[in-house]
Amino acid sequence: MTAVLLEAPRSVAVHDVAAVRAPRWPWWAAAAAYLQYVFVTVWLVNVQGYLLLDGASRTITAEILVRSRDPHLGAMGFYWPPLPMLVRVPFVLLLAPIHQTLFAGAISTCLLSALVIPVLAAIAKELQLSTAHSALLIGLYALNPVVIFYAANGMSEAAFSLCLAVTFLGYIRFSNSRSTKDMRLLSVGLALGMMSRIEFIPITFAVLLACALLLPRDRWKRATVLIALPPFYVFVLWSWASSLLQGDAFYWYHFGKASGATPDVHPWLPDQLTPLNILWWVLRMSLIYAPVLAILFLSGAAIGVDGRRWLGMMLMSLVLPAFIALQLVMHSSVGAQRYFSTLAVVGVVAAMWTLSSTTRLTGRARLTVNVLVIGAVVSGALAVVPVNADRYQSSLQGDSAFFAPLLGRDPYPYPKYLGEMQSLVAELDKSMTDKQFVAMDSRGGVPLLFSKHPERFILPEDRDFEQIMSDPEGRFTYVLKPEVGLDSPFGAAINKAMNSMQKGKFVLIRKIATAELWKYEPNLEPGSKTMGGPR
Amino acid sequence: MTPRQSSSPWGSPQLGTRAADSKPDHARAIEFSVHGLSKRLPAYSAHKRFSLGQRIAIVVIVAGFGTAFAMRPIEAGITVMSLLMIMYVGMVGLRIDLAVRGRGEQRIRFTDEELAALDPDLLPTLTILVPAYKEPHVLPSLVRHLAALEYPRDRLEIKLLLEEDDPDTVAAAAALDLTAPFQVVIVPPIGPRTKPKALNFALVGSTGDVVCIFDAEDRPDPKQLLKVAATFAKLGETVGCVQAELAYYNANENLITRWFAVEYRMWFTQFLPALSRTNAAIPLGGTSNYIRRDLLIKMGAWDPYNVTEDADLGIRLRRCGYSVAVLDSITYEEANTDFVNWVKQRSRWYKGYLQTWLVHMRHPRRLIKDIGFAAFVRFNLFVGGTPVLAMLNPISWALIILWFVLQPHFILEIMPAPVYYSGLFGWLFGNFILYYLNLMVAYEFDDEKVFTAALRLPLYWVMMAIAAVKAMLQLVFTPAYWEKTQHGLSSFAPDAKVVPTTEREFA
Repeated sequence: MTAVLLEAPRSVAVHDVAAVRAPRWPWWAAAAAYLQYVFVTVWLVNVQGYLLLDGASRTITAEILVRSRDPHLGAMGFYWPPLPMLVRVPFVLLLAPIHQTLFAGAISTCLLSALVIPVLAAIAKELQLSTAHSALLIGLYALNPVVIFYAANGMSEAAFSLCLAVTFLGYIRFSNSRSTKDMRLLSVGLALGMMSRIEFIPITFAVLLACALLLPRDRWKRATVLIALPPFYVFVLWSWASSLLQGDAFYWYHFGKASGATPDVHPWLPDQLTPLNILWWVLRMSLIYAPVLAILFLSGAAIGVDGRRWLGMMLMSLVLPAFIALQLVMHSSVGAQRYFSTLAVVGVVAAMWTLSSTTRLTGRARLTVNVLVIGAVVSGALAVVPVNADRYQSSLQGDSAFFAPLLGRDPYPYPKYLGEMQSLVAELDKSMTDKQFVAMDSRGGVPLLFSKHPERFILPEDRDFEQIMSDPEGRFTYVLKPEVGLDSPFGAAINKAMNSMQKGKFVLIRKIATAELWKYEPNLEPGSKTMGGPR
Repeated sequence: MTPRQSSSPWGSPQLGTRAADSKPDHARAIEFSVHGLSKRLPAYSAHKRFSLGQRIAIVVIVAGFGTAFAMRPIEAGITVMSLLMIMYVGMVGLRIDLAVRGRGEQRIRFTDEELAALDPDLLPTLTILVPAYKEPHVLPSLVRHLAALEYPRDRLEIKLLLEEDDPDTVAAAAALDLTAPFQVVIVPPIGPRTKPKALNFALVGSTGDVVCIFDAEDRPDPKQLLKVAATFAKLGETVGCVQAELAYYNANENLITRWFAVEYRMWFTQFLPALSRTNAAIPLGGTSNYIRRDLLIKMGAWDPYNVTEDADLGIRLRRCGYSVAVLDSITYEEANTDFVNWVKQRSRWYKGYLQTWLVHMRHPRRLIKDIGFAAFVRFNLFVGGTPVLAMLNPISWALIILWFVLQPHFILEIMPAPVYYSGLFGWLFGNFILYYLNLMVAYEFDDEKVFTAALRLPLYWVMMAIAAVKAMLQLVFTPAYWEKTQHGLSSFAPDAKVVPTTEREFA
């Protein structure tokens, strides 16, 4: 057969286009930033004893998806956009053998935050900024305390910032080239963003408007379809999954509506939530997090940059605060300060764009613009520290665990999920035999992160949870209630199951501040009141 | 008239006769055209559908799965579903990879100044072969467009290959009173009635350094021959073939032509450049491929038993260590306007791809040795995968619909989590991404109707599935039957304004 083969050159390269090598420094900067973020993560957990429950819950979901007794995608629930959970699945698998899945979330968000750096470098390159400008602004971004904190705490802000940066890169490239390739990048940014945070709904509309400003009318409709289709598709899939699993396609909206802001519970908000007060508060917060937005706004009028592009940038930069304000006006959000944190990336992009748009200025005018823009980025990075060290904010999420020490202060008290809970779960792991299971009444319970045997937990996410609770005899030996005091239908179901045991009785064997551990004792008479029955 | 013998670096190895007119040594030409490949290199010929090893493998696989289904149906079902999902995800994944990698700018481009600077004495001699069967009405337009090709006439021969049992087309050609560089070659009605047999027959009397094929309804870019010569000169000996882009002059005629045009553009501006860039084996397009004649002869020329002889030749080229360059020059063709005619054409293509896959997979280890493992995987996923994907699509849709409507328990049993999730991912995201990339291509036409048609592209996939099933049946029952595509159905004049397809970017 091989007789047919000729003596021919084996080199088959047919393209002589010399590849233009992209600079490597942004990747080195990203690596350095990644190490910095991981260091802060370790410090927060091991020194400060800080675990942000919101961030941990996503890691717990990832753990359930791949390591629980019943791994399945539906366990995610699809209440919120799924990307922040899905990205940590590989890290959960990676860290499981060394029993450190606790860090899976933060390590994934550290990575996502670090990846923003090469994207920002690409934006700077597209805007033809000098390497010095580019490196300075990227350095200020990477060292911004808000960026470091949200990289290190496992929240969805990291994924959001990366998607936002990619969207900006796509838009800026598209505004230069109008090419389908850049349109594709733009829609990828939007689609991934839609999988990260609900804010990408208004961002998508803003991008569509910004692109419409760039295109002739006959092409605008088709471009709109192309740009909007991927995020729309993702949104439909997510809503569909939410509808199947929760019976509510717009759970995220109804949840926000149900837990809307009230100044007495959320003291960082204005005393009266009138539209004017809300607007003023949002404007103030926006300017604290990204004062450079004011310069971007002024640059349009004062320096006379390209009007359509300027309007596009303004739309994309201001849509986030506008959405926060709208949600507050509609009482469908608590208006947490962290919602403003992603303005850090918007601010740096706005700074790059403003500097790029004013290159025709010379001499003192140029120097003034440079000083103003870079000064604004620096002041934004500094101003966020006292704001986030504020006790009102920290009383809710413990942000002061990171920000207060930066000001030389002690952090305000924050909930501690580490320590006692870890020791309780370690005790449980030690005492459980191979055939014993523990039922847990909380969705996304923290103990799962600490256990070496997540596959022995019977969870509300399991597809047979209801069936087990309806016929519990001999199905589980322990019951762990990690959030005692919180009423939930799962807690009620477990209580009912515990009380229905005929051949024995559950007794409380350990109690800590927030959790209780119960064990089944087969030799105790059912209904015995000696140790107290479950509520 | 014959092309003058070249004093250029181009050698001109000859195949038997050097007859320089339309009367080559008949017996020898017939022998070569029918048995040239199957006798000399039988392992490369589709004359036999399956090798002995393949027959044994088929029997073992069928018997094995039959037994497994009888004894352990669930486990057998899981195995089958796992294999199907791996194939499905691999094939969809490769297409996405190629579409993302492939960019129009990866094609070889030349400016007019570069073409003008070519030394006429160093240009290769060219033979253009144009098979035509029962297409008398397209000949005048064909001759007009071929005559418009810019190339030194003393380095060009154009052979119209007409069949002896097609008096109408022969008469139409005679009425045109053709002069040099045109020649008419009458192909005897012997052996498999296929286009490659006609090409082989004409190759015997051809003398060009480079041989090219056009279909009867083709309208090549007038500068295409110069660009091809420049490409060979620029890229050197490693290039065995230059493939120009194919597009449709009647792209905007109806829904089918619009879908077809989008698919073709994706194929020629994204898939082929990406395959070329990754050193994969490239299934050549049906026309406008320019092959070194010496290689063609040494490789046994076209396989008359393979109904996509072009695709097969591309794989053989790669196995010989040669690459295919993709040229930024368009040949306009007529897109199929009719559903039945389209299914006939597409099922022939699919059947040919399956034939090609079977031929080259007779000795997989040798194939890996020839083209490397990565190219081997791409060959399987692309050449074997194209018809298989079209067949798998309706199966996957049917399973999904069945699951959501009836939720039968057996689906749950035969799809454990990894299989289920890979299938779900392929279905939800793979299909969408492919659909979206096609929309991107449609956008580049800058035409509302083409874009609107592309929005309904999943219906086109249904048509592909029908053609794929037909192809599979034909492979079993009529493997070498060449189902002729009827040309000239378009109501668009060949000179009609075409949908612009050259601009990727819109300023």
